[in-house]
Amino acid sequence: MRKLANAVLGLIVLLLVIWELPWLYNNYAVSFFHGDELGGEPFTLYSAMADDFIQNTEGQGRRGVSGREYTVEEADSLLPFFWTTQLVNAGRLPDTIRGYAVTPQLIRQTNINYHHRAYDTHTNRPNCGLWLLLESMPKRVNLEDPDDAFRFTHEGIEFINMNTGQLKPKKSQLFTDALQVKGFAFPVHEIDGNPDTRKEYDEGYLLIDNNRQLYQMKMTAGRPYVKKIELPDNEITPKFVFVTEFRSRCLRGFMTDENNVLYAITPAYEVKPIGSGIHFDPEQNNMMIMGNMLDWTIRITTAEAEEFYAVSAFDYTLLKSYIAPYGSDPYLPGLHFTETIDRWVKPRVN
Amino acid sequence: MFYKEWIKTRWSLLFILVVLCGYVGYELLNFLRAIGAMGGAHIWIAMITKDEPMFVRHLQYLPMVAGIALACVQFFPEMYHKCLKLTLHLPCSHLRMMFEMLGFGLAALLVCFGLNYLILWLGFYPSLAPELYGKMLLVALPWYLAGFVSYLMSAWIILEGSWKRRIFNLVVMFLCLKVFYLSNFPGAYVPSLPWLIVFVLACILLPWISIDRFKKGIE
Amino acid sequence: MENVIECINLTHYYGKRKIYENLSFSVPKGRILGLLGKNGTGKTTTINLLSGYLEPRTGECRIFGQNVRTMDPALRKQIGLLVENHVQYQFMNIEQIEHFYAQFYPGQWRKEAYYELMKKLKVAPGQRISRMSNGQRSQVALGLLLAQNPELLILDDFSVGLDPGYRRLFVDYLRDWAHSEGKTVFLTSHIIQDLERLVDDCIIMDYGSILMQCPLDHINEGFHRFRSQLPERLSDVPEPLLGDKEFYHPAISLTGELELYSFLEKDEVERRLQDLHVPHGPLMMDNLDLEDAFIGLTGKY
Repeated sequence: MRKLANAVLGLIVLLLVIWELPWLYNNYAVSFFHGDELGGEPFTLYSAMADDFIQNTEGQGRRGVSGREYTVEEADSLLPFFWTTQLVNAGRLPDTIRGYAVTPQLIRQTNINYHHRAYDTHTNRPNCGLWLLLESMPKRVNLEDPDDAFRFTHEGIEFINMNTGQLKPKKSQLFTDALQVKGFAFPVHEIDGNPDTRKEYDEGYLLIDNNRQLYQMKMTAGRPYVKKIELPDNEITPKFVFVTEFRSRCLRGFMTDENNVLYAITPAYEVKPIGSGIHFDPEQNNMMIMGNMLDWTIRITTAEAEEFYAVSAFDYTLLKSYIAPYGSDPYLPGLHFTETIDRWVKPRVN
Repeated sequence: MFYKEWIKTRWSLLFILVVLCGYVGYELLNFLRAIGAMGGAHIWIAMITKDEPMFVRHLQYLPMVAGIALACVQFFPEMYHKCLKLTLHLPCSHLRMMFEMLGFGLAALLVCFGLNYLILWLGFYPSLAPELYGKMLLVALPWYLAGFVSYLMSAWIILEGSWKRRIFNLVVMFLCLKVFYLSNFPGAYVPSLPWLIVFVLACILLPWISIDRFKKGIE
Repeated sequence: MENVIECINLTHYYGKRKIYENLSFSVPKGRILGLLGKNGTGKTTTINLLSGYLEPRTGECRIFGQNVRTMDPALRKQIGLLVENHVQYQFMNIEQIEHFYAQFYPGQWRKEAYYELMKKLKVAPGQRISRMSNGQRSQVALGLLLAQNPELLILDDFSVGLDPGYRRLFVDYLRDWAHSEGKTVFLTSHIIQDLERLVDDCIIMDYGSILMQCPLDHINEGFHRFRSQLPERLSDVPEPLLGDKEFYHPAISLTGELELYSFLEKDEVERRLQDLHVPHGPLMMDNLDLEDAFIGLTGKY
């Protein structure tokens, strides 16, 4: 028994050592020894006018990944959709950009900004399984909080009155029927929505059903609105969906498939691959999109590299890409319980 | 053996129970007040959209402290003037006596913690969906497991005779307990729960190291 | 005679400090044996080794023929242990502690022996041990040992903290019990008068070894102090005296008297002094109590 007890203690101490020592090194020593190698890529935006990704460099200058150097003023002019206020103040905002008439208001209206963090992917975090469905066409101007929440079961959808805790059988039946009529197969496989009343409009939820078909569900005037979204190709198996609800209404959302290809879901419910098949794994990668009426800069952070893609805002074709692989990994492997890409606490070694 | 542990700890246990239940009651009161003031829907929405340990937040370190407190009242008297010599001199296997003493403490904590959960559940379930109170009960689970670990490891520390070794044990306990407080995200510990339970069970063996050293006369 | 305790070749160190090396002794059944020694000679160490709370560097202690470190737990029923300071569970009262111990000694527990002694104590039945005086605590501890009624008692410094009345009570109870039931007792005490009334045999420990193990009578009757006025004033003990192993701690007193201790007869001492050419006056022989004998055997320093 003594041997066993000491073995247990030895194992505990060993685990603590391979947890804490690399952590101490990675947190305190790495920045000391390898400080200049860290930091990743600076803020980067695609400029259609220069056909270049322009980066903020340390100090005052701007630099293109092509190698060209720009002054700050040049860069402001090359990125008019981002430095709009700067250009307006300097009186340098042109009336048209690449043939499109622009105003500061129009630019603000049409710019998009989207962040995906891997830890928000539903498989990377615990979910309680209750969701809120807003009224998409509220009687008043602003969106309002609902008085019920819903959950998906194996047979349908259930709405629960949040004030009483009682099921709402009629509403539940109504929505279950509406989904079934459109061929929705329960239980739901993946669901994404954004039940925040501070947004400008509501697109309800994007759903992937048990047969891996794509749907949209929202509530208009208290009635269910369910739309089956046709996939361009039977070979495509949707994996994750993301509701965007951009101010410009230029998109319904994003989708990725089993092969981690990124798709846009257009206002006309078309599903189109972005940048002729950009790979984006929502479970592993962070993604930031900064877009304007003409083009988007997509930044995907993977474990190996920072990837930048410029795509057309009209048909999502790839305009330019730039991949910046990380240098040698200065971090010590060890035991971890948490990771930046998910919300779980579980033992893992890397 | 249970009789001795009971005589030794009954008032402290009652105190621990009252404090634990008092805190839980206080949290529930806040919860009921919030429901009364803002309505159920408001609370539901907050609980669905926010990933925080709402209405159980103040319980976080309580089970851990309860575990340490119980170990103190149970094992400091054993170390007072080396009373443990009397216990180990009883005509029973030393291992059995240790397991009985620790078993008593674990069972007592289990009753206290179980009552906590029962009270929380009774308070939550009339006005919340199982998904929502499940979220709260789940976020508190690692804290309660930490209570068992803090109990067992405190026993290990208190029964240890050498100060140097006690400090080493204390560092090990601190780091082990840290594992239980890495995240307050409700449900974050779900994949780890089996590991943590195995860990709690493994910790039952640690006080044996101290008892074995006591028997060798190491101070 | 059957030995209840056998210690064989015990060697123990605390760190690098040697306590003793190759110490062996045994305690026969039915005897009350006192372990005497100055502070730091290893009395408590020996008790700890015997009760299994210390691991000797080498050697082993056997009680009832079993190594104490691997002994069958049930055998501990027949061993009573009085821990230093009469420590008992502080958080219990007189009744609770009796109730607690009773369940471990079914068939041999003598409840009435315990309560008989408790009646003599002026304590309320509900009073906790932590609130008792040292003397009262010692009686509780003794009562529990008498109730356990083991074959062997091991007592660590039972007289610590007791006033003369309680010491006497303790000693008398213990002696009557041991002698009437043929029990074996192994004890230490730093108050030697107590042992005089109690023990049959004694082991006298010196630093690192056992000076002697013998029946108390052997010391009481055979060990004497011899004094003689020296014809001339000497500052040091004559060299030849120090070489004789039969003379314990020869010394010159402040008044210039030669003082030595020995088991030898008076005539023999006289003869040896002459053989060694030690000049001396008339030899006086003193009978000694145990305390004086102890000092004679171990020296004042």
